Amino acid sequence: MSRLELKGTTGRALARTELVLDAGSHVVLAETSDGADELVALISGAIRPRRGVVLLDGEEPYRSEATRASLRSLREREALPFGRTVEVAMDRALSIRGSARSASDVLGDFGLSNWGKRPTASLSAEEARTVALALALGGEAAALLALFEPLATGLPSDRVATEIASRARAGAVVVSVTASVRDAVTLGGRALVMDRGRIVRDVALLADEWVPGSPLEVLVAVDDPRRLAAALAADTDVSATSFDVEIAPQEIVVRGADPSRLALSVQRAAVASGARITSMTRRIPTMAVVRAASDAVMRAAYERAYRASAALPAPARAAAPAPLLDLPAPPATNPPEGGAT
Amino acid sequence: MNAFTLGVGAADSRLGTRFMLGVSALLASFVVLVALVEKQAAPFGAVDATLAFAVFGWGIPVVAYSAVARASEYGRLDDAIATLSRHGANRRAAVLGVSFGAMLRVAVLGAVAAAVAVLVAAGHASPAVIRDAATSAWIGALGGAVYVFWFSLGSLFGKLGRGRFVLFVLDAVFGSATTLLAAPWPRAHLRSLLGGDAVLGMPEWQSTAALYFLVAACLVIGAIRVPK
Repeated sequence: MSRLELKGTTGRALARTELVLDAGSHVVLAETSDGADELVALISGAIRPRRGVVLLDGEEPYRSEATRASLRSLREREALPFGRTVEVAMDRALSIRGSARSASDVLGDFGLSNWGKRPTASLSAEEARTVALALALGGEAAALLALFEPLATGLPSDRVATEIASRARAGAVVVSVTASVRDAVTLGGRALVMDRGRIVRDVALLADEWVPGSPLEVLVAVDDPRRLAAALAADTDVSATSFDVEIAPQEIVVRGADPSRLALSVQRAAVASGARITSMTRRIPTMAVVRAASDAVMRAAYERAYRASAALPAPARAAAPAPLLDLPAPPATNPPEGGAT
Repeated sequence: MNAFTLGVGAADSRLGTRFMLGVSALLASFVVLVALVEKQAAPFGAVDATLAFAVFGWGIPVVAYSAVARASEYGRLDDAIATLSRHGANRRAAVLGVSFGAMLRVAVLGAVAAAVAVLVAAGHASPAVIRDAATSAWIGALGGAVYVFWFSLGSLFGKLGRGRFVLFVLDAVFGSATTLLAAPWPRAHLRSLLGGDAVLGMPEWQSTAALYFLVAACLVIGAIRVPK
């Protein structure tokens, strides 16, 4: 079982970070401007932290070649080692790692056998990332996988998600960095939200806690949303329904607190109303919404800590502003209770 | 395959035949042109002038600079081997391998350029000229090697390895002197080896030792600068 530690790690975009990640799948929700690729580079030992240290099982990947050989990474921009063809370059990478596998085996695993004879220079940026991901997932077991947008390559997303999950189960620390909440949900595991280089939230349960306090939303594709909405109107497990016959004539958004009860309510309503449901999907919040929610959570935490602090005086009520002109007070329209009338 | 060999392989792939042919053609044209002009202008001092200006003044430093820049993929040398080090190759050995691969090429070019300059500027191939060409070739090879390690060290500093440009400029400025300021720069000692003004009155063997010392210093500082 591997363990990754970031101790006061600071990068160009990454603010001072203290983090311990044990074996398993971890998703960091971050954009490039937050230091997403930099985080992968730091974790994988490609660059040195400006301050602090990154440790994988007690060793610094930046300083230890053996540690680097035991980890796999996928960066925003990828380049293969020198070699005329993809196969030669990949074989070189595998031999440096000390892998017993060949490039043709790895490419074959992912259905990329016909890429082997291609000149390395002919790979597009996306294809280079695809080959790099195949290289990361295709070799022997690794202690750490640090992957930038692993579901945004030429490999099938479900296959990648399955491979990542199996590596995490095998005891590797898998850190996937993505700007897509949907991809984060697909990858699963522990989620960390980054904002302007800081890890601002640690969301243990994916999807349910992205936007605390907001109801769960289910997008239902149905032949007659009006009829389904009418049937759902009296259901106590449904807090709200909305649809727009102009924009999406065969869709309805159903909101509620509990996902299972919400799904059951929709099915009951469909049976009762005779409306035919084609699909039912959970609506995933956008990155902007998650960011806003994270901001609100931080503000709430700050407020709570501020008020709980005994050392600080209670916030004083704002004094009424002084009148601009010294005018006589207007006559009272509602005299105080008990006053003379 | 060890990291040093991988580094040499990376240099081989980056300094390919097309690049080396292009650089060789430009260097040869420049040296021959200057030699012919010098020979016409002052037949007796043509060899020294060609070596001082065309070969050791500009030719070898510019070729070494271009080769190191290309081997470093026009960035930092330690970043240029990231495709190897990320898989577990020893960074230090890989960087040394890249520098060594570039050094071999530039040393050969330096030797050939110096010999060609002597032969063309002299205009005949008497035993004395051939001896002079051989000595110049040896100094040219040493100059090429020193400059490659020198610029490789510079490539480990600054954003995009701009340290190598700083070293190039400082060498051109301070290397022309003969005072203490000139002592750390290859240009000054190479000039001394060619029979030019000595640095701090140092004899030729001391200038040779100083050049070896510069290479050793580059290796030590580079090893400190680049982690495994």
